[in-house]
This record gives sequence, C-alpha cells and structure tokens, in this order.
Amino acid sequence: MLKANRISVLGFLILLGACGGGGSDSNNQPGDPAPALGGVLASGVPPGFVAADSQAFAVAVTWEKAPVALSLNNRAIVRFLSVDGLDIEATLTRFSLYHATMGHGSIRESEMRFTQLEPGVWAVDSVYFSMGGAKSSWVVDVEAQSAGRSGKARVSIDHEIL
Amino acid sequence: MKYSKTVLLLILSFWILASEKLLACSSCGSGAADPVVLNPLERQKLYLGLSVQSGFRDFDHRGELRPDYGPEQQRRLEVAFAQRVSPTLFVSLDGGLGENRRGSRVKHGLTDTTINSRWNAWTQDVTKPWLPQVQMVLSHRFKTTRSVQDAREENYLDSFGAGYDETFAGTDIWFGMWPLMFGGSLLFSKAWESSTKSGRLEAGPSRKAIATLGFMPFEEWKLIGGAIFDRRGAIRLDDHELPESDKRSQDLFLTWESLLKGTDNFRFSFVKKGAFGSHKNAVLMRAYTLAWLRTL
Repeated sequence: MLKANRISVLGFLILLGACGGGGSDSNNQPGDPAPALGGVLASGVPPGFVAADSQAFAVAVTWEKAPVALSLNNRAIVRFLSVDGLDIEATLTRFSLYHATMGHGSIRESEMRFTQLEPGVWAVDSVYFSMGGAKSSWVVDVEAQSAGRSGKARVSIDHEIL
Repeated sequence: MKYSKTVLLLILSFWILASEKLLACSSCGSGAADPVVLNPLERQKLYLGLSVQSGFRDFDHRGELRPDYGPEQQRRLEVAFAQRVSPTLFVSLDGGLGENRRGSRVKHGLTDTTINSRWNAWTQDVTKPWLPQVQMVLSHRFKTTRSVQDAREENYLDSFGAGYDETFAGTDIWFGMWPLMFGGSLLFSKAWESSTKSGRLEAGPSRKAIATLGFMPFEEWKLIGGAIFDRRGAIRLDDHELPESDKRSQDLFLTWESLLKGTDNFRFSFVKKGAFGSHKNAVLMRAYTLAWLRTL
C-alpha cells in the first residue's frame, strides 16, 4: 500500500511538471507592444508619425497631459502630414481607443468632441479610458480623409494610464 | 515531539488507505471545465451553484500587477443539467445569471451558455488499478450575453460573457483506484471570430492543463485540489495579430464535496486565480462556490 502511495505521489508530480512546462510565452523579454493594424512606418514618414494603411496621410497623436482612466478630462492633439512629411489638410473622422493587450475598446466614445485647430491639426476632447494600462497597452485608431482619400492608422499611446 | 509526528503520520496514512475508491475526474470541481459530471451509474443530474468572486487585480503584459477597473465583486448563479445518452457518454447544458457590483452600483444579466459532452474512452477497473479512467471532453460555449466588447456601463458592470463563441476539446485522465488519487486534464480551445465595434476579433487558441490530487478524508466526502495552467495565444483583430496580447496564468483550486448516496450532495470550491508563477494579461482574484447537486 505504501508503494501504491509512492506511485500516486510520483505520478502526480510528473503530471504537475508536464502541465507546467512549455507554452509560447513571450514576456521573458517584456517590451512595448508595437502598433499594428494599419499603421505602417513608410520611408520618409517623419519621426513620431505613423502612415495610414492607404498612405493617404501620416498622423501623430500627442496628449495635452498624461491621460488618466475613468475621466473625460483627457485631450489629444492629432496632427496630419503627408507620408512625405508635407503639410496637408485632413478631416478627422474617427478616434477610437483600443486596449491592444487585453483585446477590447473603451466606452463613452460618443462623448468625444473633434475641433479643427488649423488645417491638418485637430483637438479631441473628452477622451475616456475605461481602464488603466501600461505604456503602449492602449492604442488609438485614427481614421481621416485627405484629398478625397480615406485611411486608417493605429497609433500607440506612449503613456502609462492610471 | 518525534513520536507525536510519527503517530500523526500513521493516522493520516491509515485514514487515506482506509478510504473508498473515488470515481470522479481530474477537472471535476476545478472550476476550469464543465461543473456537472455523471458517475457511471447516474443517468441525470441537476446542478445549482452560487459563486462569489472578489479581490480583482490585473496582471498587465509585463506581468506587473495593476488596479482592476471592472466590478469589485461578481456573483454568479450557475444552473446545469447533465443527461446520460449512452453507458459511456453524457451531455450537459450550463448557463446562469450574473451580478456585477462596484460600490453601490449593481447590474444583473445572463451569462454565456455552454453545451458539454464527456465520453468515457476507458473506465477504471479495480483489478487493474494502474489503468486510469480516460475521458474525452468536447464543449462549446455560445456567445449569449453582453461582454467587455460591447459594454456600455462604466467599470464594465454590464459585461457577463466572453464576447465570442469558443469550442473546447481535450482529455481527462484520472487514476482513481489508488489510495491517493491523481490525474490531469489537457483542454484546448478554438475561439470563433466575432464582430465587435472595433473590428473582427478572434481570441487566440487556449491550452488549459489541470493537475489534480484527491483523497477521501471521511467516508462519503472527497477532497481534491490542484493547479490550473492557463495559456492563450495572441488576439487577432481584423486579421492582424495584436502584439503582447497572449495570456498566461496559474491558478489553484480546492474542492470539498459530499458523495452521499440516495440524497442531495454539496460541493464547496475555492479558486485562486493568478495564484503562483508569472502571469501575463491575466486576472488575480479569488472565487468561492457553493453548489447543490441532485442525481435524478
């Protein structure tokens, strides 16, 4: 019987070891998630800008101050250039937050307000983050039209959201 | 001191050796698979479980703990019914109601519905205790309720489901003829693409490994516990993989269940999610479940 017990414990330990190993885990070298979906870095795109999937524009998003979760007091400035770095006029049509590492969007997007500050520069007020996140875990999908062409770019939010 | 330790070990050994054989499975009561399982001579079983989940915190993609912005407490009333369709096969249907709380705000909703099946590929035999019970598991969870994908309430209080359909398949191996019983389950899943306001979402495939140890400290009562190793691949949105969106967590569970004959039975489970090891895009929380089971 004692032998049977030993076999049981040994078997359990083998199973435990087998279950714990393996996997395709990738945070052994933790890094910031790079923007995906649309946003591509094209040659000639100025630093800090992301080219739209259609190459209709390049866009950069800056924050008036570090954004915070569960607040409408977040303001983003959206600046458009051509993919060659030239000034262009563009119409911001959508500014959509996405928590890229958790796989879901935010809420209260209908409360956001878009204001054109100058040709190619827009302010987005009342941006609401439904939860916090590490630097670059939140991204924003920017959709706009320029010279009759529409495009979409995913821009990383390089702030920790608290 | 030396003698009292020896006596204690002897009593414990006798207790374990004298216990009855346990017909169960390695994922039974783990909270990581179908909640109601039929033993060989049972034809139908009803399950009613009430769980309370609290202590939520999030592990981010770097494995760092962060405050959780969702409900502070979740309560779930789970109803399941199992029906035997052949001597070696049974199916069960599982659904329920949820309650999410944060401060004084409360929201209620239906939870996702799951249909499960278990096929006994190999049944245990007292004359061959080294051969385990082998069950094949096939389940499908239907997206039947609102999820974090289409939530409208602050703190996701109106989110009660996963947000996508998912099919699970795997095997459950249980060495239940030894005085100290043990087993393991390996469940794989495929999440089906779902249309969300942000695009076409496809959660990554998952692999759930469960290692379980059990014994009967008292007649007609069983105690099982173990570890759950949960892995999920990266999310795809509009066919693009989201970097660093894969998930990893290790959980612990402990279940105390009555095995009374000819009457109702009860099960109490404790699950600690994010219990040990390193985690990624995972939740830290504890869950207590009290369940009532009636064999019909």
